[in-house]
Amino acid sequence: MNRNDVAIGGIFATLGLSLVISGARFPEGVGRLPGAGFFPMTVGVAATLLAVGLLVTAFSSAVSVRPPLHNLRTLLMAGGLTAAYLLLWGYFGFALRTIVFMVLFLRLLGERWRNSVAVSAAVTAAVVLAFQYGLKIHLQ
Amino acid sequence: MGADIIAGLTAILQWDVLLFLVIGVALGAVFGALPGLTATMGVAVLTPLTFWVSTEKGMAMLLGIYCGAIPAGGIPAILINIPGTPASIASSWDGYPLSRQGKAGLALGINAISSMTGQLASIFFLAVAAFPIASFGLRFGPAEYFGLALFGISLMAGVSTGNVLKGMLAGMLGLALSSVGLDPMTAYPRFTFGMPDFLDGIAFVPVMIGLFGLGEVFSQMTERRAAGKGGPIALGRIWPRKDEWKRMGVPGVMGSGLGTFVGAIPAAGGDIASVIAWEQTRKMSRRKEEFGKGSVEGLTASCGACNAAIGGAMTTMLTLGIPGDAPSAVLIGALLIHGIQPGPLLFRDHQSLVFSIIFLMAFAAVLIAVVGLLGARPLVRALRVPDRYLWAGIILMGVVGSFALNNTVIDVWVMFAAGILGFACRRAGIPLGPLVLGLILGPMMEANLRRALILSRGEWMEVLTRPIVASFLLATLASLLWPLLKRFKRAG
Repeated sequence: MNRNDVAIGGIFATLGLSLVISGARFPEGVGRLPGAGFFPMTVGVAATLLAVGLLVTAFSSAVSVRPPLHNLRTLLMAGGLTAAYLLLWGYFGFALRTIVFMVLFLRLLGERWRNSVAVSAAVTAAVVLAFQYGLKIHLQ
Repeated sequence: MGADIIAGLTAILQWDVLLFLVIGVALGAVFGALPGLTATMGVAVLTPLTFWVSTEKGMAMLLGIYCGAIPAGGIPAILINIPGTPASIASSWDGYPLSRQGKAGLALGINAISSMTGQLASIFFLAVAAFPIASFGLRFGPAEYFGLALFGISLMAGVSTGNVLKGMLAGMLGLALSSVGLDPMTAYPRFTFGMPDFLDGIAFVPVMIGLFGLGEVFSQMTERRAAGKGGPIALGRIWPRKDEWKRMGVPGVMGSGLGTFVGAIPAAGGDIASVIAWEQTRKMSRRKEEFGKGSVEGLTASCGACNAAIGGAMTTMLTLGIPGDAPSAVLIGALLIHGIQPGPLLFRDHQSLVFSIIFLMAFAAVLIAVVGLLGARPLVRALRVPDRYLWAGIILMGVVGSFALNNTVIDVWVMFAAGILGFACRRAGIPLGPLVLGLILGPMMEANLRRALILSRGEWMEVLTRPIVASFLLATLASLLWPLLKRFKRAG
């Protein structure tokens, strides 16, 4: 049994069914013409059928070999750091927030303090010059 | 038409337009030459930089990136055996052995020359074939467009690497995402969860930046590079000798022809084209034993084919609105932002713009060859930029670019969510191409199907039995069933 594909099939079957259920709640069309729910329902039915097909083949196929997942902790921390950077959007000013984010990101990946600060400051300055002064976009 | 050709050429023969083309080619060369950065990512991440410039300048930069990244992808393939873009995978088979023999300069020279001839040949095909294809496309009504969109998605799913069912499910996910926002016919809000930001649907640019930019960065963080960045590389001579020119002739023609043809097939991009061209040239060659060990013919055919696929892909994209490969799928979204709607009407109403695109591509092809021949040494040095700098830069460009689209932070969150989705899809072996295509073609598919049903007063058979629609439906069935039949045949 290919557990990876079983999980994917399960997720897509759930997604397909929820599309069908949601689409059924949208207003119906006039006469024989389809309404707002027609397209999502059709996509939902197709996705559910395909997901069932994937489940059937997954149960009868060999175990999948997934590529190894290295540096999971680093990945989670990098993702969390990016999320925190976005959550703080609008606070502390774009330049300061971006420099701090980039320094922490580069440090997380093993870069030395001095290089991290220098690269972060240079890249942030370039972005601010290009977008804020060049393209007149107010970066918050 | 003569006046349109002159108008198209005049529109781009301005110093600022040409400057944007040069910048685009240079950025494309960097994205192509650095392993991990691709042409698709380059177009996706750098599209926001073109929002505030005129259509000609924006097009010049985006086409420069696309036409510059593919040839530059051959540089790391030749020097360090890591293809810079998926399209240059076959270039490493003969390019890297040539480098190991101390002929890195010659390999880079062949890459630059073959890339230019491949691109120019396919651009000539675009100029000659696009107008007849587009005039055929003008016969299409809503029903035919629905059939075409369905066929496009099925092809993308069918030829995607890996499991066909997963490819089709990815296409369905793209279609589902495309239905977020106001219903195109009745303006009823769908899947907006009460958020006004989603009434216009999910913005395409942040999704593609997330899928191909952030998602790729996350994926690379979890992979350990098998090959290092390598030590100093001796280039040697770059220009081929007379006998080597002779050996490049037939493979160059084969690569250009096959590349253009394969590139024009939706979803079959430069990677497939270069592998097919390499294999066909090997079969025809008198020096079969040299292939894979540093063959001039093999390198010429593979480099020519992966670049010729650009013109083929652009032909399908510009004439019918169906992208030929992943970068052209992303390019459609970027062109739409500049008010250019690819499809047959483009060839009827904006002929001078079409010629501007053709001329820009031709200039870019020549420019990247010059960059390849003259800039080999600095590009070799650029290959040693540490990954972590690139990753930080891509994330920052993705965030700022997504925000700049509408000056709203919701687009940045969409980009972040798409990045996580892109990472998850890569891990699960789900191809991203059909997902993007579903997102692009979904609104066209739904609106045209419903328009066709209104015109036929709800008669499905009247829609589905129109000759062109029926042909597309049969082709859709064939493209979906063919890989499944092959799989069962192999298993049985």
